[in-house]
Amino acid sequence: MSKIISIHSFRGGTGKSNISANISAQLARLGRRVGVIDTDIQSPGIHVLFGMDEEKIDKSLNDYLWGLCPIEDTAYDVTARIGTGEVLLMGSDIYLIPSSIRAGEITKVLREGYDVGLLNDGFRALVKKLRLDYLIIDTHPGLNEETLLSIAISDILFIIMRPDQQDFQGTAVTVDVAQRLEVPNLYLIINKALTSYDFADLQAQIESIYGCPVAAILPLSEDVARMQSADIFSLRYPEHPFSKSMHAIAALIETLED
Amino acid sequence: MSKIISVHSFRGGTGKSNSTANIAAILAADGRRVGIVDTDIQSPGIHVLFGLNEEDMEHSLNDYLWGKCKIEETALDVTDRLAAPIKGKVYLIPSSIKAGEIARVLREGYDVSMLNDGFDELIQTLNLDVLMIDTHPGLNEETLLSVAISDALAIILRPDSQDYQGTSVTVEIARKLGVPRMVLIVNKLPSVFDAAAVKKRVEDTYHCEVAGIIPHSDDLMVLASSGVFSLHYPDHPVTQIYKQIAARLIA
Repeated sequence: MSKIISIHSFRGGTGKSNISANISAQLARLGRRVGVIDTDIQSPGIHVLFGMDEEKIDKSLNDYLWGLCPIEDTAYDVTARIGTGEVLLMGSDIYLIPSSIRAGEITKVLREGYDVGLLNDGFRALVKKLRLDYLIIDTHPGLNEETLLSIAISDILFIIMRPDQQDFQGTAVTVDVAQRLEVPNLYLIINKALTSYDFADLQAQIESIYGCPVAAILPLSEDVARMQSADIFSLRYPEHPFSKSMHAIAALIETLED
Repeated sequence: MSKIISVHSFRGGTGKSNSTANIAAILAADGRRVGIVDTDIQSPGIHVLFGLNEEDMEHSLNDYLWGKCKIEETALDVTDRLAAPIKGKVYLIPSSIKAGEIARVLREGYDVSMLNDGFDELIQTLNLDVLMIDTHPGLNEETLLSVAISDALAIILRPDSQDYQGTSVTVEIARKLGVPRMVLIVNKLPSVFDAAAVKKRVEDTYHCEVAGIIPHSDDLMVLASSGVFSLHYPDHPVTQIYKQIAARLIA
């Protein structure tokens, strides 16, 4: 059975796109067929991690939402675009469905809107047409229509937060919404934790505040920052602690029952 | 003459709210009356830096947008909540942190021109020297309006390929909207990077002044948005950079 996984956070800059891309790559390493869809229509970015830019993106999610093409026409096989990690991914596939990075096309969505129900139909069509094992939805921060829909239809939701007071308050809002929408599997990921913190203590504290399990605590890493989103970190540096956490999350996903 | 200054970034997590709060506090420390409006309706956060939570907000920007109250009734005087006494005043107009009220804005929408009227009314009734607008990341209606009516715009980016691409989108829009003054701020620079080289590269790429390059700071992360950094650490190198940015924006 294929599964839909959403990656979200209330505040921006928690690492949604980096973590989405790395979890996708780790699932692909396990031989799974993975689709990654960028529903961050207001500020798309994940395509950068797969080596895509405006010139390489012909059709985007926006075109599908405007009825200009079927959604599968907006899917790019990015397996071979992944830097030096590509050798690790032979025999599997990652497809990216990017959002448009053109200013005019982003403002057109704002001006004209679109039927959010089309997103749901599009997710189902992608899973079927591309025979996906997993569809990973990268979201825009905060509460908006795309995010509410993505959370509502997900089998698994990861909410990312930093150990920051703004994130602490905001995450409570998202967890509240996700619990009301009855997501079957809800996990928190704590990112950019200073290594001086006691991780076990932080995890226990957060699990008791939000009443949901923490899938990983990722230390703040200058190594990840230095890569500047130019590649998929966990494929380039598979032995790095960040990469091992990404692998562990992929392994956790694989253990979840339908 | 009062000034409207917007702080924006294409991608999230660049440090908009922290930078806004610090610049506001620095401008107020010189005796100015400064208002901050949180237009990040989808994911408000800046109130946390002033020690506010849900219970402290009787009214929010949302109430004004729904016609329930005047905008000045949503303004909280947060001057006394700051870590050190200052000469001027800081007022915050927070967005609602209640899930139901955020979802209601999505469901029902609101008239964006009310924001514009609200900004003018705040400047008048609170007698503000500066109104600062903290924004939601990316392109959305609140942001387009805020950028369009600003006297000065600060766009923040991290040294990251996602931010580099996204910032070109914002710079393009800001130029079309004819913002009188636009500066870039590079934030969270890893220690191994050369600030001067990054500054040159960014200025050459966007043909726009870089008002400051802020190095990554563990001290700022330890504070973790529980206060306004420049008042907790008045002599810190990061505070000096915030001061330099504030001076460029008010110039």
